[in-house]
Amino acid sequence: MQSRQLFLIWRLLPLAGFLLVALLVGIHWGAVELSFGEIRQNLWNPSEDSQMSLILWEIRLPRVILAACVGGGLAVAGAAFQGVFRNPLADPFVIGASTGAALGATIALLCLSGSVSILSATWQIPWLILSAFLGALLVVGVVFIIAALSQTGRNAPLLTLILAGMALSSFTGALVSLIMFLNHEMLATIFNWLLGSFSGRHWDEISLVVPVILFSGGLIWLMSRPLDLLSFGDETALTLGLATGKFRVIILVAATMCTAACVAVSGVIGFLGLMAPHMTRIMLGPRHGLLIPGSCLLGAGLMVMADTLARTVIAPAEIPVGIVTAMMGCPFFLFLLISRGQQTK
Amino acid sequence: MKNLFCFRLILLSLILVQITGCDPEPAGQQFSGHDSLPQSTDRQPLPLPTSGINEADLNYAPSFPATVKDYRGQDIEIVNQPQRIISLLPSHTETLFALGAGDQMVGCTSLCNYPPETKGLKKITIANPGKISLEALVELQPDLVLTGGDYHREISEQLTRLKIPVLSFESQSLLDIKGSIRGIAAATGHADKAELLVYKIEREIQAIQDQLKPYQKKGKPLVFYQVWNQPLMTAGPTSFIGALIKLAGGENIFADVKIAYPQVSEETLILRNPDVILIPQLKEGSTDPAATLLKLSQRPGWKQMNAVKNKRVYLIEDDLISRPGPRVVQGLQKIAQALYPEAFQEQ
Repeated sequence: MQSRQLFLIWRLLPLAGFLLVALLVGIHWGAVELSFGEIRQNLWNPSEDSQMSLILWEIRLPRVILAACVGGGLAVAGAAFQGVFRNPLADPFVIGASTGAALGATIALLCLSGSVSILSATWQIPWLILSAFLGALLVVGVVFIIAALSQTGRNAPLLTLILAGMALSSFTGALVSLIMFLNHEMLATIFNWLLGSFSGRHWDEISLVVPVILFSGGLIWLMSRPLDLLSFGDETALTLGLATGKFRVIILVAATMCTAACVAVSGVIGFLGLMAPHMTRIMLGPRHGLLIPGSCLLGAGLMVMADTLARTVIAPAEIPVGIVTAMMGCPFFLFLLISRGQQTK
Repeated sequence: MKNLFCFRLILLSLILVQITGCDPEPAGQQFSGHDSLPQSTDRQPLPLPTSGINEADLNYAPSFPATVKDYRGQDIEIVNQPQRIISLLPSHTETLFALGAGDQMVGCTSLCNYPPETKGLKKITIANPGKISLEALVELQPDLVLTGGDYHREISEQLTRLKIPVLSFESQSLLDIKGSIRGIAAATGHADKAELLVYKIEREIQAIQDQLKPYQKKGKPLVFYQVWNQPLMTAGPTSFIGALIKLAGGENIFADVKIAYPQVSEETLILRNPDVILIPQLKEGSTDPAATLLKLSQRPGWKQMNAVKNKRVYLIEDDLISRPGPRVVQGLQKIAQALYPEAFQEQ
């Protein structure tokens, strides 16, 4: 047993190294040049007066850390969804978490813009994040209820979940579009939120959201063995002694909470939850004990890289990070097609 | 069997050719106003006034039919002085009232809130192109519809197909304002007032700039205009608001970004340290400036900005600076007062 645990850590080291490099690059590169010397100096001796220290500690560091947490969270949720649904195309948004969060955020933006001017007060931010979080949980909850109560839900629970998720996703998406349409002056604001971005997020948002991500991510990691069993199929899992219904619910709830927290703070950032588990599976194999932490590290590193690109390519202007991750998806899928094709030869 | 199939194929093709080949409207006449009415042979198009106010004639009488060239580059023919005008853009509504054509209007958008006389007009649409009901427009039987350039392209085409005269004036820059004032005046029979209005606007802008000149020796203030905070969005120099800031003697802190309303980096903003921050508000006095300043200073890194330290955060009424219309001078005045308060202290 001891040698197996050592083996586990050893295999995760390259990915941890990748994350570390990505973090360093993310802290170093940006619209404002921070040399490595300055970074080292300011990390150990943070001073209140220096502008560079301020930028580093208050703007760049929280942004990079948040990107890493959101990337890791989405990747872990994606791995969980892919394991439960036994479907390589499952991503964290498959049962409606993203559109639910979008609906919550849209309603919050509407209500807030009327009463307060378009500023962020420290009391305003939690409303937006909370509303998006609750919206995601609400929509996924409805999907669960549909799957639990319907006849097809009892016969084919996974398929029902996916189909109900698709239906509710498109309905909620239509609601969001309707709200955007009827409130033309909020159109650009809502659309910008939907595109996903880490701009303007500071330590307040991190303290709100990262505990949820860490907790639910940790819970999913604890469920690695049940996930392994579930991936064999319901019958095999049952005969091996797993209470499939109970564990499926636990894993899905944890993954949904993780996704909801990620989307609530940064908008809808696609492809990472889909890409990272697949890439990790190719590198580390399908056992979830390695896959979950591995995809967390890889997802975190990829998100930090994507955010760094998003804020440096056309500096001082920024591209929404959701666009960068979506563009990263194309070469990934091509690579996957080619590698899968070579496997079947 | 094969012969029957071929016969049916040929018959089908002939029918299709007949249907698609029919074109009741010759393409050249598509954008003309009333090609079915008899045209008088000695009609003279009204010459558009080009030089200064010397030609303003007190005994001016509008002469119709008139041909006006609009933003699309087309010559639109207006047969009679329009008495049922609908304006689909708040800036056009303001222009119409400024030219004295307010009583010739029958409808406008629900966002047209100035001058107060607009309350009496039928509000048929919200200024969202997808929400304009063609039927509601046509029901009012307009004889002229003023639209806003590319923004209303679809509705303009639909109205033109229904033979309702449409004048489309782009409304994105100061040059557009002068063009639309002149065009609207020529189309509504108030060409005498157009040059007066344009001259008045130019003179007032010049007066503001002259008032500011002695205070510009120490350099121009760095201005940051915040459109939104999460993500941080601003108005670049290529936008209308950016042009106003430049006219008011300010230097846009993101002058190197060519996008009109870009997302920008907070780090760069802190590094470049703005002298003045401008934030739009819905109505005069709808937001508390002190509360705004407090909220800004609570953002990490913003307390050290010159603008926040010196309490130079100003709220500007959104309507004045986002409508390229006759009130542009008021918007410019407000921005200039924010940028150079010492220049306006004597008044």
